[in-house]
Amino acid sequence: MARIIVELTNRCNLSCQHCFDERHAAQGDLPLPILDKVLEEGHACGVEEICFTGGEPTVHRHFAEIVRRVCGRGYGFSFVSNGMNFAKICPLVLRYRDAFKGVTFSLDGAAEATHDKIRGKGSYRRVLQAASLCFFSDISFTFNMVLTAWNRPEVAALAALAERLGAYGVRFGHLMFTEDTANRGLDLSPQERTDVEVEIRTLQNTASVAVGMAPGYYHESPFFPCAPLELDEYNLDYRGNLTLCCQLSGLSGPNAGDDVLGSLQEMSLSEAIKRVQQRVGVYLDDKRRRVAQGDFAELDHFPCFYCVKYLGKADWLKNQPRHSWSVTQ
Amino acid sequence: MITLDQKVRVHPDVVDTRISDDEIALLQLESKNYFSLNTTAVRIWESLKEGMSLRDACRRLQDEFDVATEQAESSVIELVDELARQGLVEVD
Repeated sequence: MARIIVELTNRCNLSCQHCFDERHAAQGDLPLPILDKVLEEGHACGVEEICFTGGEPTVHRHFAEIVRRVCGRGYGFSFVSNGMNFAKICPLVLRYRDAFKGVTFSLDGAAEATHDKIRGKGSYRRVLQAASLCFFSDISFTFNMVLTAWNRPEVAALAALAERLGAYGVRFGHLMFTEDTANRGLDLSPQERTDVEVEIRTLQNTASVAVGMAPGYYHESPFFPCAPLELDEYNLDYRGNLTLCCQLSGLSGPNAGDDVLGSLQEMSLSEAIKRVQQRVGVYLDDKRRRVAQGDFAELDHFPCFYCVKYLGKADWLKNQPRHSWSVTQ
Repeated sequence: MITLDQKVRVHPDVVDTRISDDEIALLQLESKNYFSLNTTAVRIWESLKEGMSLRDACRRLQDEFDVATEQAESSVIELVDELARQGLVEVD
């Protein structure tokens, strides 16, 4: 069973310090005919769940209609949100709760000051209002923290907060760093990432809530677990493009479009999925060759970093020779 | 015990959330404890948020729920006392 991560919109009602600038520059929402195409063909392609991301998915002008169509076609749905609109969205979730798989709220600090420094004043309390609504309405929710130098000391506190607030769990993910995040001092060095991963693994054994780690953490094997590479997960951007990875699709640079594999404006979902399968095959062949040639460096064991480089989206590091991830450039 | 002449205001470390027309959830940020307010308590809480005195909050209860003065005062004082013990309001 696969799921599709659908970037419903590139628009957002926040302007977070770690987000790609073009996330805020665009004004586009996923066209409904593209969604209909996904829903029409999805089951035949093994898709059973749609996960909405963005931008902020709930600001899509037709969010309620989208949920209605998704559920009407027999798919489960979930979404990632900053929580700002949740009071408005909650009745919709309750109406379609049979198909609802859970909501993930971005919470980038256990402390109000930390989260608000990253996401804007007042946003922490809005997330906690959303969590309160979920708790009292018996809606499953999870917190997600993007790990940065600013919130790294609050990893254990976030897990404790999730437990106190009745969350299903907490998930940690490494920052997809850019020149902007480097300039803002948000990036963790490779050693700092390794250290925080050790702490998270300890939490996985001790916390009373589920503690997850998004792909991107250090992996001994070059053939790390990653849902898109295992064809368990497909990614659709708001323009209607099937892409190799949801994280990379908004990352700019001279090779910004290299992970775009097929447009649903021009082809069927099954055709686009075939292209993803072929591209993953090429990707894995390339990697096997590099490993066999000894061309797989220590930092390449951080999966997302490997892919960013592989897709030519880390060239800006050449201009930042003192950046802690520049050593392999 | 709190008296009706004391000034009471919502504690700054509280996040309140409307759950339904007759239920509000309170989250105390320091203790991380949730609390739920029922219909009457919701009206008292709203009065406090509007900056009303406890006496005015009592009058509102009397008007809206058709209760005797003693009962309204008792409800307000008991709730505010509990809210204060849980760090949900500040009392001068």
